[in-house]
Amino acid sequence: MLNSFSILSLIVAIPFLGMLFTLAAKEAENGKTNNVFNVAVFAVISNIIMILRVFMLVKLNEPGLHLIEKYNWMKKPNIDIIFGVDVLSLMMLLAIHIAFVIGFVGIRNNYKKQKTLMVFSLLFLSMVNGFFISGDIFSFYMFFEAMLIPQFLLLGIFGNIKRKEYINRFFVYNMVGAILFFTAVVLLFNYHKGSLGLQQLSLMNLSNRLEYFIWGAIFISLLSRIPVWPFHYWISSVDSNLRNPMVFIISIIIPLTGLYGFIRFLPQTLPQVLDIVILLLQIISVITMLFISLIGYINKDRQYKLFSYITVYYIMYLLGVLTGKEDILLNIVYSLFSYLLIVTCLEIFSYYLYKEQSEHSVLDDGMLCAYPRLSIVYGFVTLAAVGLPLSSLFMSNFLILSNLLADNIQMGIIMLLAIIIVSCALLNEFFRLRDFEKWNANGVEIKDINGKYFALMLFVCFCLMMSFVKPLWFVFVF
Amino acid sequence: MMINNIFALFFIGALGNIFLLKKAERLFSFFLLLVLGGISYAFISGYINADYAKYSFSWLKYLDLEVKVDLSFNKNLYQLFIPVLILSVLSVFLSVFNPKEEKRQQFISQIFLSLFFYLLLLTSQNLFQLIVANSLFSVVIFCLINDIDARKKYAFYNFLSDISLFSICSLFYAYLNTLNINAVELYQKSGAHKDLVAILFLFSLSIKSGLFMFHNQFYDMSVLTFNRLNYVLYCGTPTIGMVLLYKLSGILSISDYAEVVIKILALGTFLSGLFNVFFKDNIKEKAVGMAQLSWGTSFYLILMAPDKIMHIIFAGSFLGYLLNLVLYSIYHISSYEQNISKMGGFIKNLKLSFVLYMLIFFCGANLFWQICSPISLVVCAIYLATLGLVLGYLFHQIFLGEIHADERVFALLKNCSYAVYIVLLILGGISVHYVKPDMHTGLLNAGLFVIFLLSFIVYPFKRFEKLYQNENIQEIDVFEDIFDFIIITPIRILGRILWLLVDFILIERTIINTWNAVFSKFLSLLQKLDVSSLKTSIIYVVLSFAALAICLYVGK
Repeated sequence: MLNSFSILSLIVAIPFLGMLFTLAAKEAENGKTNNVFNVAVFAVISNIIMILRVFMLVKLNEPGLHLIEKYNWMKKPNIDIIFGVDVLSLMMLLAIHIAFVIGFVGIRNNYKKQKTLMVFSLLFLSMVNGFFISGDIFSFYMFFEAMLIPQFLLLGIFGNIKRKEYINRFFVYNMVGAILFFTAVVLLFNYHKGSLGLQQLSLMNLSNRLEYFIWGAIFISLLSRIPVWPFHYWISSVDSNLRNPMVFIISIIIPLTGLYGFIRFLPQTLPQVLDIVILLLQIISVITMLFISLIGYINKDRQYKLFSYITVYYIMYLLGVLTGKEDILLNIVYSLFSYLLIVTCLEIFSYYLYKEQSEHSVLDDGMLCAYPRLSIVYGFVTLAAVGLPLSSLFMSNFLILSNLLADNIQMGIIMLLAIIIVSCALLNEFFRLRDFEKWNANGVEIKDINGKYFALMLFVCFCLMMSFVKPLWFVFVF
Repeated sequence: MMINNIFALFFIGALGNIFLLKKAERLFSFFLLLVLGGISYAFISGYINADYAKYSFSWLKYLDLEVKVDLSFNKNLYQLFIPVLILSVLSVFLSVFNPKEEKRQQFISQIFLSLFFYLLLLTSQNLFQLIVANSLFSVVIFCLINDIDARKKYAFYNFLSDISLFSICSLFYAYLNTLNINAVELYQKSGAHKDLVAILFLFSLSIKSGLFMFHNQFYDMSVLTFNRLNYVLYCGTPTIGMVLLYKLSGILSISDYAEVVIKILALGTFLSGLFNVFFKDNIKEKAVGMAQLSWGTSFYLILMAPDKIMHIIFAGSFLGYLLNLVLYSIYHISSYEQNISKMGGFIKNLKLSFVLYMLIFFCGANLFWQICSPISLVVCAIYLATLGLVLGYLFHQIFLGEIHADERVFALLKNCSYAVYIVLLILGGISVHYVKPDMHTGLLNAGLFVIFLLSFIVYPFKRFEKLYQNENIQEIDVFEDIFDFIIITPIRILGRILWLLVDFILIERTIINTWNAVFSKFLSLLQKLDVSSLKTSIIYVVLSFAALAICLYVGK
């Protein structure tokens, strides 16, 4: 039997080893990169199996971190690296890994610099894994920042972003967040006189001035990852221009890390100093939601519509996290599982259509009519995305909305409006792509998604549906 | 066990949708018809034998929140389910025997699924099951509508309806802290934002049931096959709307105006239906108009006697379905001619059908009268009299008058197919079962006959015929234009303004440009300072002392 002591470290190590193997994998002479692809997918699937194994080992109903692994990094100053998982982090890890598999398979036939893409993606995955299993503030900070390096490289190489200053601003502004976070970590270390577990942090009583600074710094650095106004501008400038689906998937995981940070850092009993900050944050959040949803509705670019959908939902989750209620936190995590899969699928479908469109030089109106397989899965995922009971989004939307409507009816209504508008934008887009009368390329030779890919997508749809029936269905299955 | 039949509906529906047969599709559809017949028999036996066994199991559990699935029946629920079940069986029957039916197996499988979700909705004891069943029912009907434009409008309308219902249930849960459907009545005491709840509920209900202002979604469905259209009209979301009213009737007491508004909407629906039945040339649009007449009346009656909803749905949907079947049959035998203006003089070849249609109408009217007249004599009399007038008007154009049909259509006219006959006779037979030979019935039939004859022979609405040529009336969709003007256009304008003002002018041109300007000024200042002169050395020393002073002050 596998020693549970090393299993979490293995989850970080496997993608890293996968990256090394991918780096060593030989590209085929005809430019195709079967080896690279196979190694990368194998690494991710191996990790999925490991994560499922961890699900078996962990007692999901018990609170706190499980399978704790502790390494002493330095004696002076005394810094320990702690790894641990709970149901929140495991769900995130599983969703990210499935999203990666979908992403890799989606770019299977895109051979341009595929090796580089796979290598940096696996490096990013390794860093993200470290982030989600980190149990102390040092490892949390290290992985929180380390994941930006492969992301920045991927954006630079594959982003196709016309204006390079967008990437620079994006990076600089993430760095500002990083510096603030670092200062908060140093102050906490100094205050606590040693390493600090994440769970201890949320229960700490700090002096008034320190409380202001530490929470302020942490909040700003976490917020810098979430597209809340005015940060949304840089994120949207980058995300909505990305044409490589794998890079897009990676960049939508970044806000997830900010959100997860809020889940981990938000104190059990919020200090009073935070009341006004949280109220302000809530107000800005709902305004951003409405704002982004309106722009998403009028924007004709499919990528921007998807970005607006992603933003609205991330902010909704942020508002849910800020309620601090345990059942909502749990539901948000269940919901994020579906959300990540939905967004990944939509991006991959969008990319497929975009590729076909440029290949055949046709307009995309009514395009789905020529792709029956793609149309089925696209339709399902769109309906799940708008919040119909086809995935676990449904339950979390219900609970978050329930809370917000009760707490502040105005905010609840604005949030509801934003969700309606952004859902209508997605539906509009789907119907535009399905409009048979507008499809004007009947003579063009069309290639629908292949059988294997269709099977994978059907499996993802099945996972989404099962997540609605029982969010942890796979635990009972395996 | 009834539970087996319920899950059989789901599994057969799901499998039928996944494994689509290309060969022997019709044979398999016939098999599905037999299965549905068997399931119907089981439900009817359950009703007769009062099988009220309780089925309840835990579904989701999150900390304090537990969601259960209830599938327990009682007499009322059987009465609400069986009419829809019978109409579904008849739709499946017609689908199997209609050679022109498109994607038959898929359609029948979707009927199975819709019946399952209808059951889930009927038996719901908690709000969560209610909204899930309601939304999934909408999804099934969405799949059943096989035209992209109709589907699009249906999807948008129903999405808004579902999300309104979703918000109401969220509010209930927030304030009552329970999902129990019976606790809704307590909202009057302990809830908040009651007007909002009432408005959202009315909005949701109106869309679901195609009430006035939200009926145009069904007119877009006139491109569907007649059988599909009839199924959606009488077993689809409009029925769900009525069931929601029954299940959440407690909401009506929250607002003083809710009932009045529903009555006004019901009246508007009735009048709008009347308008369309008279003025629309397309026979399927007339069928939708007929359905509107039925919905308007049913809603009005439900508000008068909410506890009689099962009888009202039964009588209303039976009579409406019957009349639409008559129109379907005419459409079928006239070689799928859609326009009434291209018919006329059909009585020469369709004497038997004409007599049958008359008999069927009287049977249906009697059934409706027997069941609903105890609730409100006046409402029933107005509804039936209107139907008499409308049918007289339509039958005159179809059976009497000049022949407008082309030679081919006229040559192919023959009495309707045996499948339609069978269905009409079944429905007629069920209706006859309810007829009581007494003085009231005699008076009703005499009155109805007079009205019908007056409209059929005297033909007082002759002038309306001219409106069939009016393109504005035939193509008009006032409410879509209104919604576009008051909702969609402002959203677009607002979106553009916000994008321009906030993203472009405020952030790009103001904040970023200012930052760039300040930063470059700062850099140029540093460059100016970075020279070896006494003046700059003094400035550096002063700045260092200032920094030191700040540190000392903060440190204290």
